[in-house]
Amino acid sequence: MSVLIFDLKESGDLGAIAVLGIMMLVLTFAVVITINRIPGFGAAQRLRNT
Amino acid sequence: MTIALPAESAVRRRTFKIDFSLPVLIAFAAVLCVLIVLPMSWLAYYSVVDKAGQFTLENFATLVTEPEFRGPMLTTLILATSASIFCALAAAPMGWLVARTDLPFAKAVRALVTASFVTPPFLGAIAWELLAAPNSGLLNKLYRHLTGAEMGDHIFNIYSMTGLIFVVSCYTFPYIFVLIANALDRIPGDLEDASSMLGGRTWTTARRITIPLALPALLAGMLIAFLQAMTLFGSPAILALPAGFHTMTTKIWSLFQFPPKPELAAAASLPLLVLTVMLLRTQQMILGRKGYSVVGGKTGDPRLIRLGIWKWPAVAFVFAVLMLPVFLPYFALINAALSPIATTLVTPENATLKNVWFTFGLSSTKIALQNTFILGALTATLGTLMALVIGYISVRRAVVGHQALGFLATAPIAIPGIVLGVGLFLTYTQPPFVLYGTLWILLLAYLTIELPAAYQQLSSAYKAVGNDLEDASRILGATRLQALRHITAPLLRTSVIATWCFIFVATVRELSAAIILFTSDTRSCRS
Amino acid sequence: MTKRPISRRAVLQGSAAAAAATVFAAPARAQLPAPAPLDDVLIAAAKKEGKVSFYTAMDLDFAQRLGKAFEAKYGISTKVERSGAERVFQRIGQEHTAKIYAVDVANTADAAHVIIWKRNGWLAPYLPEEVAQHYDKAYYDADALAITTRILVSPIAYNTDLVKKEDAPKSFKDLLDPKWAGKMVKGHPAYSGTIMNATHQIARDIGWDYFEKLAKQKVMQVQSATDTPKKIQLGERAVMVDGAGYLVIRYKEEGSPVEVVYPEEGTPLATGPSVVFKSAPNPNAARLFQNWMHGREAQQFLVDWARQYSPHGQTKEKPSVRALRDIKLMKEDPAAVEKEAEAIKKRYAQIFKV
Repeated sequence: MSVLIFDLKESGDLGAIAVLGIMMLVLTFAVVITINRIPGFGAAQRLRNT
Repeated sequence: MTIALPAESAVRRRTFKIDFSLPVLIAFAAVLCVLIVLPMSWLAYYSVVDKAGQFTLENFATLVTEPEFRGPMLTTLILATSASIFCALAAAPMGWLVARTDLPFAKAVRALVTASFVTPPFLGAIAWELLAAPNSGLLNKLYRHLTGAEMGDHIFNIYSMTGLIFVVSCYTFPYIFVLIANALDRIPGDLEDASSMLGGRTWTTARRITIPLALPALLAGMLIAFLQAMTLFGSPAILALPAGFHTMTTKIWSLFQFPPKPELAAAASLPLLVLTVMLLRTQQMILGRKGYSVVGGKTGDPRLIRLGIWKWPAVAFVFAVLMLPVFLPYFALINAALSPIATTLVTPENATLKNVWFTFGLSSTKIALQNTFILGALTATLGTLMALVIGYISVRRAVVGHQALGFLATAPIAIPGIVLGVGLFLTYTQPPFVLYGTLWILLLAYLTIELPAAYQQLSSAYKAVGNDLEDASRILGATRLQALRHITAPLLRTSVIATWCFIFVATVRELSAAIILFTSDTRSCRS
Repeated sequence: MTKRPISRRAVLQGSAAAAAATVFAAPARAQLPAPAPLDDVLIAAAKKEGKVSFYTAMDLDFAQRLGKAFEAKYGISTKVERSGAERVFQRIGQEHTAKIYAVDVANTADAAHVIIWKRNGWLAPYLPEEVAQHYDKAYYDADALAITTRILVSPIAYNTDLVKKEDAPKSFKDLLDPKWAGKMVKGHPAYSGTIMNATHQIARDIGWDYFEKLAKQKVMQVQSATDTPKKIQLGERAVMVDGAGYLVIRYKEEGSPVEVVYPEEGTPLATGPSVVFKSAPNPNAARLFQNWMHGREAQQFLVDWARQYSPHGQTKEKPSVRALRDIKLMKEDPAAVEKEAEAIKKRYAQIFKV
């Protein structure tokens, strides 16, 4: 997906990049929020533990 | 997170008899060697041969003498140095405010920093292009609208060295923030109590106790930021090329354009590799010496400093900083997604979903999504499994030679993505292993890149679990595998899930190795 | 198979009649395969394969529509891979070297690529009936290994909100005026085939020192010839030095404030040929696609929607666009581009620093 975004960037299709980018962010946040839902692995603790 | 720490358990444990067989160790060592040693050897080999395969130092000579390489090297150094300084200026006060003061919304701030941490830097760069391109950028349009300035006047020009430094800093400062906040969280309240009991005022305590203890973390964070900025590919490709200059990473990438010059690319990659190794060693020394001396006792809760009348200015400062990597870019992206022309402000009248339909109509979108999921899931699963086994072997000292495994698993941290890309390209485009153009080569790349973080997370999880319970069950007659399954595995569950997700997210946003290794066919998942 | 020996003389005459250069003037026309009809046998065989992969340098929006139109007509799923012509060329080269055969049909914007693929023996001969009937011989290869799909010009263009008509540049030389410093955008010859040909033609006709002077004008450097029109449409830069003229025309017709200028020195020209690969994984679908794409329906779509020039004798251009024969064109020379491409890229990188 990141490579597709980069390809689109080279041809200047900004609208499509924005849509794909938002999809990518939503996907990422979904995963991050899932981690934080796991008991004992809240964001704060994660930052501390690493 | 790319923070290298040698996995060393401080506690002496009784050594087990070797029932975990030697073959396991050998198999894993072999896999790690293939992953790391093979591409790096080819990289080194290619850097000292010419097209005919004869030994030469010509490649390095070209690197040093040709202005087309010297320029990018200098640019890269300036970029990395300034970015790490800017990051420190923003991240250090923020880290302190969040960890040691009664700053309101501290939790939200941490969450937002995490958001900027997981935002792919190249996406941020494109978003900032939408915001601050000199003529079409939304912020410059706003400026002209407000001041009535002429077309052509602008306050921001993102296509410039300053613009690049700024955008790189936006997505690098979380590294420093996390380290500083960690360090400050860990400073035991007792130390500060002692200081205040002895009559030290709040600010004296901060100056005499808190800051010195946080300083190593700051330095280490700056080194990490330097490394990140130095090895980043996406943002320079997006912002530096239009402005007419290269960094090392974009230069290496351009050496793969037809006709490819892999020898030069290999030679140009080596300085990045060497510098990374050196900086990581420095960082270990700094952290190893001071930062962790207080880790041992996490006794009292930290004393929170009251900000008083400074509360609201502090909030304003923190959110002003967070505008830059999070709010403004996200706004620009959403605007571009819904607008007929990317940098025209969306209004209810002109809002359109045509971009959405266009994007979903692309034959490459579906394939890209599919590949992203397949690769992400595969890498995360295999990476977690490998880290589990290697972590177990090295923390429990299950086999002789476990140190080597631990070392190999952490070593890739010193290999920048683009360098690894070049190495893998050289290794797998020729017999005996022709993997180029398949998903496998990307899987190898991602596995190698993510292994150190996974290994660190899981080996510290093993240490946290301890092996007393395991020992107990073994004394009661369970075999090692039974003990693992019924005792250790359930205790490790959350860490495993977290590691899996961590690798998945990191894989999704990786660009610099992928850009070298991707062919159109990879996307079709034909392998 | 009927042999149709064609004299070199006939080729040259044909090309002289054409507005475009003699792209496919091979020294000896060996033999052409029999013109292939687009018949039920071919359709059935292609449908059996069910998919086709099309690598192209066309603007993504159009390439995608073209693929979808083919898909809708024949029910064959079409994978469109778009990148700059030079990138497409590089990819196909790397894939063939690694013995990965993924591409069925490729359409480039740099006719020099056909020379190399042909020399490597990678192309399959295929002559659709309609091409034999309605295409000037200058527009297809002597051995039917490649057919010109579209003809591109790379004019200057400007944003009419930012530049008044009377102030607009009229020639390449005009762009050296200091008043354009920091206001221009330009594509890259290492990425785009159109720009590669434009660079070659400008360097040949005006001289490399033109580029040296241009480089002092703080030109914004993007990659694709399809990006420069987008940058002037956004108003990010006022003038585009080179790029896809067809997109400017399209954007103008959609209501964007952009205008084309055909420079006095001549407008750079690039023909975009398409080829079927010998190693095509879907050989029948590839032929069907190649046949359909050069047929009247798809070619008229190319003219009407994509605003590109068609080599098909029966397509109709709207009167609002300047006909190719009325534009003073620079001469395209794929053989020279093939020889000089590497040197051009190198010199270009030295001058523009990227």
